[in-house]
Amino acid sequence: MPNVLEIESLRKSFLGPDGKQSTVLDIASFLVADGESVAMRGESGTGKTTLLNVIAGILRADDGRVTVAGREMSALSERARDRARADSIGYIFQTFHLLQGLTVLENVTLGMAFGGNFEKDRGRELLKRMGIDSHAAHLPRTLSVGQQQRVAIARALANKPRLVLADEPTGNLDTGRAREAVALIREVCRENGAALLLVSHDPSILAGCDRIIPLAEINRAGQAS
Amino acid sequence: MTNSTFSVVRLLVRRSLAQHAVATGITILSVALASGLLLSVFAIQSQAYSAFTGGPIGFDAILGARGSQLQLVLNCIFHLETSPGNLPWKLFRSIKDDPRVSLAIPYAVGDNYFGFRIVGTTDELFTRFEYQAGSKFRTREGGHFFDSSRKEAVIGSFVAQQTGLREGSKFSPYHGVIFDEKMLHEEQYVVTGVLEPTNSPADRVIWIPIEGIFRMGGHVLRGSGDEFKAEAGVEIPDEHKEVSAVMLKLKSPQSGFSLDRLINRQGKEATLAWPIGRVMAELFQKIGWVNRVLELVAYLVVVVAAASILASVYNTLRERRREFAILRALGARRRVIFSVIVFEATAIAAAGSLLGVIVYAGILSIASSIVRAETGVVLNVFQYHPVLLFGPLGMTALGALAGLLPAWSAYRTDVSENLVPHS
Repeated sequence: MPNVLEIESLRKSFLGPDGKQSTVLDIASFLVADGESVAMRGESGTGKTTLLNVIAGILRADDGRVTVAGREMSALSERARDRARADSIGYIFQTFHLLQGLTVLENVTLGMAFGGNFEKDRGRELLKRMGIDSHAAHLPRTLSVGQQQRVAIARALANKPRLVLADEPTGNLDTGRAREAVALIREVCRENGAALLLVSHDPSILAGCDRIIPLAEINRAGQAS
Repeated sequence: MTNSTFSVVRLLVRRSLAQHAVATGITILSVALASGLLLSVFAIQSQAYSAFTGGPIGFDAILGARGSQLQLVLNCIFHLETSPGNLPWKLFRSIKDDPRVSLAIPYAVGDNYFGFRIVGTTDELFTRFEYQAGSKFRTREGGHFFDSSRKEAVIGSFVAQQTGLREGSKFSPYHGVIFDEKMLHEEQYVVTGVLEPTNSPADRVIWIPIEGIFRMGGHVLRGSGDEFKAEAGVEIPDEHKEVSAVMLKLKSPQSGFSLDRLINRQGKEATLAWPIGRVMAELFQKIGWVNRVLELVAYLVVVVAAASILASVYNTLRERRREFAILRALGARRRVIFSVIVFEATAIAAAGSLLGVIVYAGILSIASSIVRAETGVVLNVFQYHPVLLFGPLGMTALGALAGLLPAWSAYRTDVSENLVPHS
């Protein structure tokens, strides 16, 4: 099975407040196969979000190669990384990051526009799949936390990504609901043929993924992000 | 930018404006006021200049007592100033018989009715004079011009509207050109006709036979140099008669040059105000600095409005950094974020500019009614002036320009930094 994500000799460091460079990521190799669901466990401040941002092309690696869906993100211009992100990557954030001024349906279809394949019907289908189609015209703040999370999941899948990145996607939910939410993310990713890379500090929600990897196992950097 | 991206930009702009409705509304209002002020200043200047220098005046020149040409024009054409003095009747006769003059109509002032000037003249004003090519004074239905041998009056349309006088109404004049209720004359005049509106200063005048001015109680004639009081039923010898001015229609522009040389340069008895448009244009040149100050103020207000757009959009950036970061994380390019802000500023400016046209119409309507009441000159709200097109366009462009700075700031939004949860 081909890999949707390939990381090789990745290094990322930041300038600390003391003026010294501190390395956050030092990953020799990491692969995610097409359609695979991978859970990555790591304590807060160990570079999980930084890793996802580097994979998504939001941050640029200092060194090494990051290839997503055949495109080497680390070698692309910012414009091309934006396009690659819009085309191939779905992102679920810890606090959902829904745009409060837009309706639920608009939030879901927003990402499609940047990928150039705007399909309102697909947005509605996804909302139906998530069981929140009756809220399509509502503003996010009128929804419960669980419903908002479903909107965030639908948005991440709207542009038919090959890789979904989920950064602590259950941060605001209790353990029971968090498990349900992760199960739903896995299920929907599978239905849409997307690979999933889910990072969390909470090991209890990671069960059910094809692989569970402690970040410390692949990240040689000892510094906190 | 693809169609779908442009749709998103429009959506984001629309929703952002709605989300910040109060700030947006206030900014649009300030742009509207600035834009309306700018349009009004230029339109009023232009229309006032046109109306005062080339409006429906009808006469080419004014012959009056030795003095200021401007005073003569303001007195006889716009009925604003006092008369600089009187001319003996023989001068009126002589200019009337001059072969260079096609029409000479006497103008005698000295009385008013509730501030509206009463002018003594001859019926030639109605039978021969054209205030615009092909347009003579006409009374509205049911009225007719005065009989020169009777105490009859023809009133302008604005006078009728303001005083309530109409055909058959009787009134007594007040002495002087400024209304003073203690100065009531005993004579009573009957209104025989109300003139159709001419949108000229004539709308503010009450016309009576010139004999009426000569014979008004308390009036003294000094045409011969000695004082003479007219007596009822006794003909007034021409040597005693005098007029405030004579309004002239000349046969050709050469006649004007010739009379100007004869009366103004060689003569010492009278003054010829000619051409009337030039006399008024000189006035506008003299007060041109006022126009420039007004223009400057209008430009400054426009700049302040543009600054208010900048401040309004800039103030929203702090709370929208995360929104921009989310959009970028979803694949929006930096220039999409830039465009959202520039379009937002442009939309505010465009809405304000459109509203500014309504503000302009309001200001011009008020200014028009004031100018009309004071001078009889009518400003037209709907008259085209290039500023009506280029003003709103320029304001909109300036708004877009004002959006560049906040747009640049939004453009530089750091995605990873702004995606970090606040809690």
